[in-house]
Amino acid sequence: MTPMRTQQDQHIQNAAPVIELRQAGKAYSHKPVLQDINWQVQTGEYWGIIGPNGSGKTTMLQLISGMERTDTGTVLLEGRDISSYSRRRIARFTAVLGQEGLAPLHYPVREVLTMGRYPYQSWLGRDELDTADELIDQIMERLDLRSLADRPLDQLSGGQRQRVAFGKVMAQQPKLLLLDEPTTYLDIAYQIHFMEWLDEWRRESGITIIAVLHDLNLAARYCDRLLALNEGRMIQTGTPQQLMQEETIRSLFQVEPAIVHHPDIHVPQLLLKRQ
Amino acid sequence: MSRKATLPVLLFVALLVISLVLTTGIGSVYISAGQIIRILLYHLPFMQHWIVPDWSGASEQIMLRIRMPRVVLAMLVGAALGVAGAAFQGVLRNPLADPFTLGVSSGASVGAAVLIFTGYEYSLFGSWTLPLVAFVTGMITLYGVLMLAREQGRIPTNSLILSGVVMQSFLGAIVSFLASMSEGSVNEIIFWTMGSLSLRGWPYVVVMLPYVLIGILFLWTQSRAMNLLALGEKEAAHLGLTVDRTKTLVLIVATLITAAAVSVSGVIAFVGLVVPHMIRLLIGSDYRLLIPLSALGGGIFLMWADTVARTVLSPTEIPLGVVTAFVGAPFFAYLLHRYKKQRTD
Repeated sequence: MTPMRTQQDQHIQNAAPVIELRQAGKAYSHKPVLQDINWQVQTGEYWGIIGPNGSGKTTMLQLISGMERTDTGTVLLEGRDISSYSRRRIARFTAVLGQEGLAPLHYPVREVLTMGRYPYQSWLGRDELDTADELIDQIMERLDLRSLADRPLDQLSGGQRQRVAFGKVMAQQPKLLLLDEPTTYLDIAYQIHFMEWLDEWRRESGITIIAVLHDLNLAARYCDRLLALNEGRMIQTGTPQQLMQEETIRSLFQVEPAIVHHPDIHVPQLLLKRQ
Repeated sequence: MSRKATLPVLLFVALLVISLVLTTGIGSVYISAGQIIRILLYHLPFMQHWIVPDWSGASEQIMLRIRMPRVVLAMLVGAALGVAGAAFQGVLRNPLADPFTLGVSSGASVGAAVLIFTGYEYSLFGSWTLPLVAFVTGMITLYGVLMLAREQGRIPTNSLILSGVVMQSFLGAIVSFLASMSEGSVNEIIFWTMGSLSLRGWPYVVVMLPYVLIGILFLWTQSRAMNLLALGEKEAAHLGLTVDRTKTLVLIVATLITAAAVSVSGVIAFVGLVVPHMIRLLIGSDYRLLIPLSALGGGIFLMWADTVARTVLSPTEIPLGVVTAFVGAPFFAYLLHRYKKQRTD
């Protein structure tokens, strides 16, 4: 996969953290949703953000993607204030994949994937990467989308559309990928497929990933590090082993957990007791 | 643009040229297509030596002074309204939006009518005054309609159309009132509210051409942005589009070309609705194709509509807006029905 960036490239490019939040806070109509967040994400890390509903997870992604400004503190993207970047510059660096996937539009799959190239196109639509067409071909090959290339989105299933959404994000060639509960509407087979594709892509490109995940077991299996949020405050950061403790989960989600170990891979997994 | 795009564009260009020749020929005095082409060629530089004029001076005069400017104007007005409709639908992400249903046409007609009835139509910027003032009042109307339709930061389809209708009837009343005050005839009222291209010569074409040409070209450059917007505003922003700026620019330019059309032809309904939707049925929703084809298709549609308007009850003319409404209103009903069904599915 030559057009993908190698891990080496990224290390050479910048030593500053990919994302840094300094005392970042955000309020909606005087109600604080995030307060005093201090957090650094280094190149190549795979973070999962966990926490109950309304704890500020999505707002955190909004700040990191530059869609919302902080009310207090700052967000730095590669060491520079994120508000100093244009939308286009951010789009060349950061891609976002949400839970809804793509709307069922009457656009063919190939066209939608090419839209991922928008931040690299001139106003006439010329891509600055000469091999952009091959890049799209490779992505389609990899995600099993080749047979769907000319089919419009509105004829695809939800799972297929989510795959197209993923392909579009890959076409964007970001250095940082933000995921907002990307597996919510997928069945368990697709969830695993999705996470495996992501892992493979990450190993090849050295991309940095920040994912908001509801499914703690997926988070523990795939992320290197977890950040726990509660009521807009950062409770704890650490490895899945460190965070997936019964006590932490109990106080975070108000549930009775039982932590077990995955039989094949040594990560903690969560079972819930009846209350 | 891909090879896939070339064929429909060429086809529409061919249709446009054929329509131009045929509709120029049709009328109380019939002029054959061959003769039209020879007269046209004869007026090109250096061609006089090759073509022997075998036509009457009268038919040449009818063709060049009366029919041609009118047909060309119909083409330009149709192109402007077709593209404006596609652009409004694109940035408002509302399938029922068009210059007429949004009230923009009526808004522009108020500005134009006030100028004409008060006799200030050539003040300030000469012959450019009319389209510019129509643009300003069209813009104010659009802003009013969008504000009226807004519910918690979103603009639902139905309330947008409702707001458009409210504005339209109010502004239409103002225009009718002005027309009745101006001791002009009933014809004037009909002209402004129903649209007409009668008695329009080349000067009107000259006034309108730059606005429409530049406007359409600009909107064409925004076609990839409109494709992104179809994915949703958030999605488009994540792909690097400055959503608010793009939307504002497109709305402004679409209003400008609408205003240019309205100031020469009055309010012609539904062109911006019928034409882009027909094109969508043919080639899909890719705005890179939809914009140029809406321009060509709008031109073709209005040339024929105007031919119907001036010939069917000849020597009486039917207002052009009546002809387009006969086609457009049922089509609007069909779209309403279709999107209602889509929402409940």
